[in-house]
Amino acid sequence: MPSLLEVKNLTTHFQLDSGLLKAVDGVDFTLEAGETLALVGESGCGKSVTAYSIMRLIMPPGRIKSGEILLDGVDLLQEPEERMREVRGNRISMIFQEPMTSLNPVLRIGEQVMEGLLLHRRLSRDEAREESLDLLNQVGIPSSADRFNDYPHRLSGGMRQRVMIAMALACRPQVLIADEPTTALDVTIQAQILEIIHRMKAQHQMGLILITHDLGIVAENSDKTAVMYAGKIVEYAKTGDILHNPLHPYTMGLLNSLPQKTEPGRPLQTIPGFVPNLLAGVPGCGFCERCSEKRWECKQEIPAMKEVSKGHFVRCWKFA
Amino acid sequence: MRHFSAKTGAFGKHQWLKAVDGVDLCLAPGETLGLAGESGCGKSTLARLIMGLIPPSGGEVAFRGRSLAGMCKEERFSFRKDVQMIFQDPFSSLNPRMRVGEIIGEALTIHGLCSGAEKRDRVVELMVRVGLSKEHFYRYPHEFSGGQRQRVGIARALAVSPHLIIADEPVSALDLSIQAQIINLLQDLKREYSLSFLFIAHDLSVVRHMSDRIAIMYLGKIVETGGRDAVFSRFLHPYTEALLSAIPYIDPEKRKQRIILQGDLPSPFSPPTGCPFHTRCPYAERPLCFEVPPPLEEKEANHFASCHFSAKLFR
Repeated sequence: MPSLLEVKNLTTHFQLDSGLLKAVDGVDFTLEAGETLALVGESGCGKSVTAYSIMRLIMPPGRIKSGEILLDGVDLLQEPEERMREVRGNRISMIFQEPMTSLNPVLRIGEQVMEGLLLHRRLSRDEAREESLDLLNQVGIPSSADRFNDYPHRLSGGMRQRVMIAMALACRPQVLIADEPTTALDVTIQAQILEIIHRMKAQHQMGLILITHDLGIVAENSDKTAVMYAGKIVEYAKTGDILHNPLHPYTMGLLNSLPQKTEPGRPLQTIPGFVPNLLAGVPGCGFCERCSEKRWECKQEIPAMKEVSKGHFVRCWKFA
Repeated sequence: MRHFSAKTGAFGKHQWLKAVDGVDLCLAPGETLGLAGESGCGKSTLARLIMGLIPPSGGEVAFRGRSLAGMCKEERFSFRKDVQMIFQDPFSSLNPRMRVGEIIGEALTIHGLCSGAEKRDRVVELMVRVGLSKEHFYRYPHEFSGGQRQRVGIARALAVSPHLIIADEPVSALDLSIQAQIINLLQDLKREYSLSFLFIAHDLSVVRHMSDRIAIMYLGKIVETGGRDAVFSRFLHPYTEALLSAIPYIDPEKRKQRIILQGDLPSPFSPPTGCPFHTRCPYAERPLCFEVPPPLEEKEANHFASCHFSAKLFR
């Protein structure tokens, strides 16, 4: 039985004045219905561009150069734009990081939730309004009938994020992509938002791609994890395996550098150096410069992904 | 205490916004006090009050025994060397039109501490100490990454040999692997220069790592304060409990039962009666919590909390 979503060898490049930027460079993963995949990495690793590529929201100078994105077995990259418009917001939905800049500031929030319902599910205005009120209640917006006519600027960050979730889920998508949904929010609001996403995902048996740099959120909210570095996935496994048996030096470095892993006051373990500039286009493994376990092969060529134990994949010369 | 007078609504109804409301805090030399709390709790306003950037509406700020309000112009000017600040956003806290060497050395010039070659040497020394290289002297901020810009901000703060550094969310805008580097740098500098820190952050794991003592703020008031381990393991306030339970942990054993607080922060324009936290508190009881504001009291040695039921709930 095919997976709900299968991404194969996805490659997205940006042709800039300063050179060619390989933002996503051969990414593979699968997502089943009801499953949560965490896409983890630091700035510039390609996680957001991967998400935008899946939604086919890449604009020039960006271009999806190759690969397949199979939703229920159908390759989205081969579909005409009119078909993609039926997919976005309907079968695959997205929640963005900054709710204020992602909501339309001149439309009332009720309207924004209704938009998808009117467009994709072809409900009448009355039906759409009913359903929107219900959705706003489900995402925990108190007195939704009163807030329905509010503009986004009247709502707090947590509330706006809930409106985004309501909008994203209005058409009961098969896949939800959440791009750093709680980074801009306070920790107690973060807990509320994650709880809502989790509950609605279970209710609708959605697949969820959770993009984050917070490993604690990964630990508590995902089934599988893909760690990205310099446009590639460097480790991919069940979340428990990644956190408690990390294999790639970058994954190990990230986990070890967390304050929760070191006693207060003692120096944190660090990964030396900087997050890479993808324009540099160095041959070999992108992590080599910062790696404590580098060997001769690392500078020559980047290794292929290898399944080291069942379901646990690593891209590293230690295991090739 | 800092009350802002603000007008709301089209007809300008006059209201008070009590950003900081009756805060008592002390910080010893060489100590790091971690200040945690969510948006709108008043921690940034408190930082500015301590810096003397805004005047208090009531109460006082005293530095090394001298009240800020009582300082004459010269003393005030001297005070500016003693307390420095590191900001959250490494992108907007550096003047984009000044070279990095100039940014770091500016305060040295203003305070007449040194000039010319001596100043340049001192700036280079600072740059190297914070992990930059001397070639960076003539570069502009936009040429650097976030982590490097933050290092520039730290060098700038250190230039005048302050006693106290207020770090307002110094690492939250940085990537994970860079956060660890900057945290270690701040710890080293603290030891080396015997600095005191007021460390403001919303990431409680970072606060815990850096602080000797912790203060938790809610709606302009301190609701709990005490030693780091005491507050983290033996908290005495329901808000602290909820904040701590919200931290996502990698280790399943460390995870606590998550307390999901209902609702949003009340508007600081109309804070709740009685205990400010009662509207979201899972343990709030009538009539006490609804009507009587709990005072910040010493519940155990050096550990203060403002809750009517600390003993019943947590001991």
